[in-house]
Formats: sequence, structure tokens, C-alpha cells
Amino acid sequence: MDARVRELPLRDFSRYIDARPQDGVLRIHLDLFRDPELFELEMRYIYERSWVFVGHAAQIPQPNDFITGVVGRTPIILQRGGDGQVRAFINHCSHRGATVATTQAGNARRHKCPYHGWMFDSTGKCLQVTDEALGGYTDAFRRLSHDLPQVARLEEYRGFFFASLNPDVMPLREYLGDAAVFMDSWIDQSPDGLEVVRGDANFTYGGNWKMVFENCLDIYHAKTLHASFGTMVMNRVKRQGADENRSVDLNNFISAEAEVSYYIFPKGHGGMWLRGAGKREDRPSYAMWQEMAARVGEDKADMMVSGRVVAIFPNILLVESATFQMRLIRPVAVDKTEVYAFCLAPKGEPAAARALRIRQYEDFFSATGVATPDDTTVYERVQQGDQARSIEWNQGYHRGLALLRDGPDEAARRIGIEPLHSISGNIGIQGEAVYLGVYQGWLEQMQRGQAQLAGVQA
Amino acid sequence: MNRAQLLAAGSELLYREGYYLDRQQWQDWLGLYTQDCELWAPSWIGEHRQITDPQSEISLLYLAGHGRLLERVERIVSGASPASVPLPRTCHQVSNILLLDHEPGRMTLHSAFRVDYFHQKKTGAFFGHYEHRLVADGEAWRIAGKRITLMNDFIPTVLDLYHV
Repeated sequence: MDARVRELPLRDFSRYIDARPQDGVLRIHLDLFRDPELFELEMRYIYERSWVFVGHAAQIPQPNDFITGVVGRTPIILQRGGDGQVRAFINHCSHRGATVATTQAGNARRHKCPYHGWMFDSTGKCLQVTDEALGGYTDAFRRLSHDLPQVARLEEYRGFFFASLNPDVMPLREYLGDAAVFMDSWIDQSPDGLEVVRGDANFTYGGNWKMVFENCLDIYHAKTLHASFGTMVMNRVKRQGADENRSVDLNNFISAEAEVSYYIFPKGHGGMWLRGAGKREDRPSYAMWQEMAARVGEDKADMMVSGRVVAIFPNILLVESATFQMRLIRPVAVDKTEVYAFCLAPKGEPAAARALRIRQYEDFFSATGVATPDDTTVYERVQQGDQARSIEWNQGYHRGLALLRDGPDEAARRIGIEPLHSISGNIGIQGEAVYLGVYQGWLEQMQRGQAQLAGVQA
Repeated sequence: MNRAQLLAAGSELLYREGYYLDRQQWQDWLGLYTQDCELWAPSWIGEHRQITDPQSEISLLYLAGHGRLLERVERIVSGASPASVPLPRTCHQVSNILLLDHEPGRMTLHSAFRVDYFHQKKTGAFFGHYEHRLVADGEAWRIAGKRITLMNDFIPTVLDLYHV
């Protein structure tokens, strides 16, 4: 057990989540966004106890390919060994602790610690303690493993690698539950799966990590915050014609004819599915629709060309709104977050569709584009506003709460998923009550983490 | 024009671009670009490699055609983009200008840039290199291509045209 755990104050986390949907109330305490000590506990009880996404197989296709990352605060290396197997180990030389891999990605049969030269192979095994024979080492030292410590658990879901520092964490498949069906709706766009389009466009913002998590499930903000994007697309069509570099028209996307379903899954995952929204032929994947429909059936193929989001608690967002982006969230401090952006695309996509995908992605989702900077700016304004310590709660979680019902809706049955709750109907709901599941997941993980690590019953 | 004259004319255009951006004279800035211009900031792949094909890889900025610059400017001045209200104060510094090559009516210039900005009580900077392709338009020169190699590409909240 971590010796510091008992020094942390024990908290009654249930105080922070006021979820009484039967009474029409859903409130989240603002300390979740502003209390540095609570942030520390989130790292300990969520990010360092649960599953977190660490990378995609397509980032490390060859033997000895690696990427570096973090699980909570722990630096890791995700590496495909010379034997083809992917492992995750802690990027911490067993001698003095320096990181042995210092690049974001690379290919290396060996990692040599720059400090004293200890050497490790691509499976994390220690090959050399520099000048060991002359070192006057004790038997006790020789009995130690000098290998890079393996991350306790690493599991893959169809190319998506998740790691956990908790050896007793539940199986990944169980953790993902039916949220995985949403992941499938991108993975199965091509019979060959997904690839990562090259080029880094990562960003940071001065706000809490949960703001970007919430934002991806929020379409209520689109009309206001992304008005300038909507206007831009409208003007583009007016000036250049609809065919050139078409972007998904936001006005059409949130038009009154569209239907939306929100799904609350166990473990804090949330889903959103928009149907009849936007012109689906504006989506790059539509180029492959016929092949998809023949292979997976029309219901699932329809889902593959519609707007949809799945937020896998706590750190991965697959968001197809005006375009598709996957985001990996890396919390840095209570008011500082890094976001690693991935342009995932079906393998074998026609070149013209791929170019369109890339233009749409840069337009809408890039931190250098015309939508995301408005989001990140507004997260910072929320972070500033939330410093009002006399205010404990806001009103941002009630929209759609009256429409919450147990179990799947009709659309969910069609694709064979069993969410805990659904909210569905006309897109005008623009619901926020989907966060109920997110914060129930937060609460469960915080309570379980504290119970396990501090030996206290929640 | 001889090399010295070309370099002088090209340098003046690069300085003028920064001048217009820093003074938020958007229409004057747009007037520096040709109709078929291309403004491209390739992204990085890891530490030392950049993408090479904007059609199959992600760029930080890839704006092909004057209309794309215009629509970005329209958003900046619209008042409807929180990221653009208020705009930062910026200071473009362009230096180390080299005439890479030239032929009648065309030249390519390399330069180094640093754009310091001040926004919401915070100071920051973006820096890197430019490669400008200039074409003669009567007496004047215009920008047909601007390639921006941005060195510090971990974007702090916002990066827009006026930052580079």
C-alpha cells in the first residue's frame, strides 16, 4: 500500500454528486472542477486504478515500435516487442528513475538509460547493469529484478490499448460494456479496420479535464458557441458551390427533423447518436456506404455515417459531429489539461474521401481550426467562473432529465445495445442529463478507490 | 531586378505582412495574397519530421485559395467567436531573410519569425520559419504561397492566423 494514502483526508464523495432524477434533480458540485486535493484523489482513485486508453495498435505497427505516454501521473512506454507482442512498462529506470525513452514515438530494440547506462530490451527486460562485476554489489541487490516494471494490466479492444496500474481491475471488455458497440461503428467502417492519419495537432487548455469530456456529449452549445463555424460553412456553399470542400453544415446538423438518442452506460461511459441529421453524403465514410451496408447490414451502416459520440470514462472520446476525431485526455492539474488528438480513418478509404476527411478535421476539430479554439476558450471561462467559491452548484445538468427512462430505446434495440438509461426524441432536447451516468461512474470509482486503497468502506 | 532589389522588395512585403497582422488591418493583409494562394502550416510527426502531403496527412493549417483566408478573417472579426474576443495583441518579427531562388516574376524567400502575443494577462510566443513564394503583379509583389514551419506546436488553447 502507498504509505501516503492514510495522510490524505477521507472524503464522503457522495456529497459531490446530487443525483436524484426521480425528484428532477441532477447537480454536480463545482469542487470537482476547482479543488486541487480532489484532483489528486481523482488521479489516485480513477486514473491510477481504472482502465485508461494509452494508444492504438496502428501507432506501433512494427516490431520494436514504441510510443510514450502516461497513466495518471505514471510515465509509460507502450511497445511492440521483437516478438510482436505489445507490452506496457513504466518509463522509469530501476536504478535512479530517469525516463529511458525520451521521444514521443520511435523504434528501438533497446533503451539505454542516459544517466548511468543501464540497458533494457524492447520487452522491458534489463540487459545490463553497467559495470556490475566491479561494483561491489550485495547478494540482496542481485536478487532484485532490475527490469522496467510492467504496467499491472494491459488489454486491447480491437486495436485500442488500455492500461491499468491496478492488478485487480476488472477485465477491459467488462469495463467497456456496450460502449464498445459504438467503438465498433468506427472500427467496422472498413473490413481492414482503422488507421491513424499522420500529423500531430495536440493542444492544452487552462481548465479541468472533465470539461472536454462533458463538451463532447453536449450539442446544446453548438448553435451558440460554433455560430461562426456555421456561418462560415453557409458562406462557403454560397460562394463556392456545395461540392467543393464541403463541410458538414451545422445548421442542417441540428435541424428540427433530426432525432437524437443519449445513452447512459455503466462505469461512466456515455453515448450520443444523431439520426437524420446533416447530409450523410457530406461525410467521408459515405463513400464506402454500399460496401458497409452489404457487409454489416443497413441499420449498422446507417449508424456508421451518422453523427455519434462515445465518451469512454475517463480519458477517451470518439466524436463524430461535423467530422470525426478521437481525443485522449491527459489531466495535468485541476485547471490544466492536455488533449492528444487523433484523426482515425477507415483503411482503404478512397483518396478523395480521405482528403475531404482531412479538410473537415482541420476545419472543425483542430486547435488551429474554427471550432475547437472556441471550445477551449470557453473551458477557460468556465474555470474562471467556477472560482466563485460561494457558489457550490450550477444548473448545467438538467436539460433532458424529464425524458430520462430506464433501459434501451427503440434505436438502441435496433443495434443491440442495453444502456442503463436512454433519453431520446427530437434533437431539440440537446440533452445534458446524459452526464448522470458520467458522474455516477465518477462516484463509483472514487468510492471504490478510496475503499480499496485506504481500507475504508464507502 | 537584381538580387539585391529582389531581396529588398521581398523583405518589404514580409515586414508589411506582419505590420498588417499586428495592426489588425485584415483587408490590407488579404490584399497581399493572390487569388490562388496557399497558406500551409504542416504538422509534425514526432520530434523532427514534418508531414509532406496535405491531402493525405493532417496539417496545422492548410488554406488553399483566397476564399479560405477571407472566411477565416470574417470569423475573426465577426464577434461570434469567443476565441477571437478579445483578440491578443501581437508583435511579428521577421528576420534572417534569404532569397532562395528566383526567376522572372517569381521569387522564394526563407525567413525566421517570432510572434509574441499578449492575451488575458498572459504572454506567449510562437516561432519558426516561413517560406514565402512571391509573384510579381504589375509593380507590386503578392504572396502566392506561405509555408509556416511552426516549432512550438503544442497549441496553448488557440492558434489562429494572426499568431503566425
